Amino acid sequence: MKLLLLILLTTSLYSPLTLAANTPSGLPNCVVCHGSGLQGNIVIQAPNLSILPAWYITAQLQAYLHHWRGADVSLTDAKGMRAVALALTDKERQQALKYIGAMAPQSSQPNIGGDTSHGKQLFTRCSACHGDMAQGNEALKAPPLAGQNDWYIVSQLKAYQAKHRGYVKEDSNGNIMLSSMDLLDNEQDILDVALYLNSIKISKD
Amino acid sequence: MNKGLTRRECLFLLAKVAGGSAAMMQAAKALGIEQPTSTFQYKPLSKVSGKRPHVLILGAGVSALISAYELTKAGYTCEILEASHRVGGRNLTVRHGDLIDEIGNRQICDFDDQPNLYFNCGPARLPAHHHGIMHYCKELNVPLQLFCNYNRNCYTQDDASFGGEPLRIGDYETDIMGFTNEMIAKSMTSAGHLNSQVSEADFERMLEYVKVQGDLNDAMKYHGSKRSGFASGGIFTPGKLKTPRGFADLLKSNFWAGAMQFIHIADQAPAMMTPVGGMDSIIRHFLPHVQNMITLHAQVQKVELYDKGVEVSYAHNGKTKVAKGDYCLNSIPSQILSGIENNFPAQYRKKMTMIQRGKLIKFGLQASERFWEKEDIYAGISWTNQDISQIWYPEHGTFAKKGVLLGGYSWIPEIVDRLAAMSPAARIEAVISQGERVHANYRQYIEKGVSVCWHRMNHMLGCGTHWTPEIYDAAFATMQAPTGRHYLMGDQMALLPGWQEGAVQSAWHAMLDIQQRESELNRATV
Repeated sequence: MKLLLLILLTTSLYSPLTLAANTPSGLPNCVVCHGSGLQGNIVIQAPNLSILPAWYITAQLQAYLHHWRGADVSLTDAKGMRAVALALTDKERQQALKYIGAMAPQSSQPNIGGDTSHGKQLFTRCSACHGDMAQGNEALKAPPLAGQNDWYIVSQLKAYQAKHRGYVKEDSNGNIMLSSMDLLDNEQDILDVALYLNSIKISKD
Repeated sequence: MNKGLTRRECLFLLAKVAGGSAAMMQAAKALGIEQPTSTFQYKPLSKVSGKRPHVLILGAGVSALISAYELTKAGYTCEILEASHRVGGRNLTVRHGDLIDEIGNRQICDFDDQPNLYFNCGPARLPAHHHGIMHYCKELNVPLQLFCNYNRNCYTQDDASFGGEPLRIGDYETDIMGFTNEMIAKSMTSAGHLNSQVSEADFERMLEYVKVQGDLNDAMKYHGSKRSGFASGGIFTPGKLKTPRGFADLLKSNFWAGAMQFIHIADQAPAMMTPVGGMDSIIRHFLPHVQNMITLHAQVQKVELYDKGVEVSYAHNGKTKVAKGDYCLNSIPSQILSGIENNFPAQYRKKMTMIQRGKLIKFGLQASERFWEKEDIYAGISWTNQDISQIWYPEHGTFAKKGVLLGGYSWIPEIVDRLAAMSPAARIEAVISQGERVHANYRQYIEKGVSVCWHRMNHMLGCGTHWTPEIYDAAFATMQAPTGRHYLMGDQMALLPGWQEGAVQSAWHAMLDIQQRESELNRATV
């Protein structure tokens, strides 16, 4: 009897736990990791998406699908992004691109130590592809870097350096970036250039 | 060989099993290096008079529900905004049909639709001295039962010893204690003790203690003990002792270094409790009191402090809405809050990003048959040095047809990353094949499973916060103090990562501060 009462009690209390339908809705998942303005979140190691054009995001989602990115065991955050890329339906991808496209570009706060003016000088080696103001160049498939989080630039340059990114033969644009790593001589160069890119005030397009 | 472990060394070893430095802090308490200061004495908040202050509560986990429950009793009005589709936060029990909203790996729990087939994915046990959460269980009449953290019939399996064969914990502990105490007795009775500071009488008592502790014979030798059960006989014929395992083999296993000390961590010490029917029973019992204050799918986009309160913008049903409060109690995980637009002071923001999210993964497996009962296991934990680390057997549903096991529980970041990188199906396959090292017949019984990878869960992105001593010193006080009329709370704001007690205590810490401000306000107006 006591048991029956208990079962009745728990069943009657059970339903309200989920007060609404059992399907999450609302903003695209992007904002949970990448931030409410898609400005990036260092704690999650999620980069600034607000500065990125649709063509580049589309290409990177493809890169995750092909396992050109996120394959190495050490890249745990990239693996999380790969799971998202795999799970996105066409419709969701379109929604996400639309959402990102509509977002005003967000500037970054500096997070690392470095020499901005040296970084600016170094960047002249990169600007042939990425543009004078690091605004990106679609024809060359070189993404905008202006306003990207400094810590993210550092982590990606190191990923190229370690051949965790850009090493798959079919990833021709990644190959170009990997081979361009010779342009930066040492760790301090990486920090300086990242801090410079972080400091550029940006506008989309 | 008989070199004693220093307390610091012991801590290091415990950290290996209990995970991370936050767990190390708990272990430090357990070893008396740092005294636990957890006290909770319930005293209702003072009633507010006149205009009822409005409190915005962000997140609908344990700290949020408790705040809404207490504040409304004291005359405040409350509004809870929850980003996800459900109430409870990391207090999550899954059953048939429930959504596990991992970003990129959504799963629907496909356990059979039976009341005993549930899995506590977050907190699963209640220590007796967690007076805050126990208070609410009592006040809300949440039925509790014993939770079993220690069962000598469960197994320890370690690839480094006994050829990887699982051993009953009782056998292991009896033998290693026997041999260790034999060694202690030997060194005590050697000539060296004559120089000792201890009186003859005390020395005799110490020796007797060692004899009892190891179950040594009168010659102070260990030749096995009935503590691990008899090899044969014992009912109508005299019991025959099991042959002890080799001391060297016992020491090769890592069990003594970690798992064997587990129950000596204050927060893990038996006897522990757990709600009947699943941990979310606590949430269910709160709901009738706070339900009408909760908005689900309300995803916070901006938090703005202004001199008289806090304004929050949130997305809901495709629209951006605004809510204002005289105060804001915020339990959004700091790792997510760091990405939400705000006008917090720069220092506060900077310190928030120092807080490190924990990683933790749990697996629930449905078994077609309660095969563990045939092995004299009715509850408790087996330990293994495979990535799954532990297997928990349910303390409920004894003799039912089926049962849900905890098939793995990993808290070491590298292990969690390894398992998290797999697809849900691949994770379950890995968990089953590792479990086979403990139960050779495992695979034939496991029908299906779920994985809950907390640092990938939507609107969570983390588990218990890692407050390393350095980060604690640099950031805790700032983050615990209000900024304007905004308070960060939740288990993240206590040194009890993953324990609901941390949620209760942090909520009370914030509420008492609000109470203080309100009483000062009243005094000023009177």
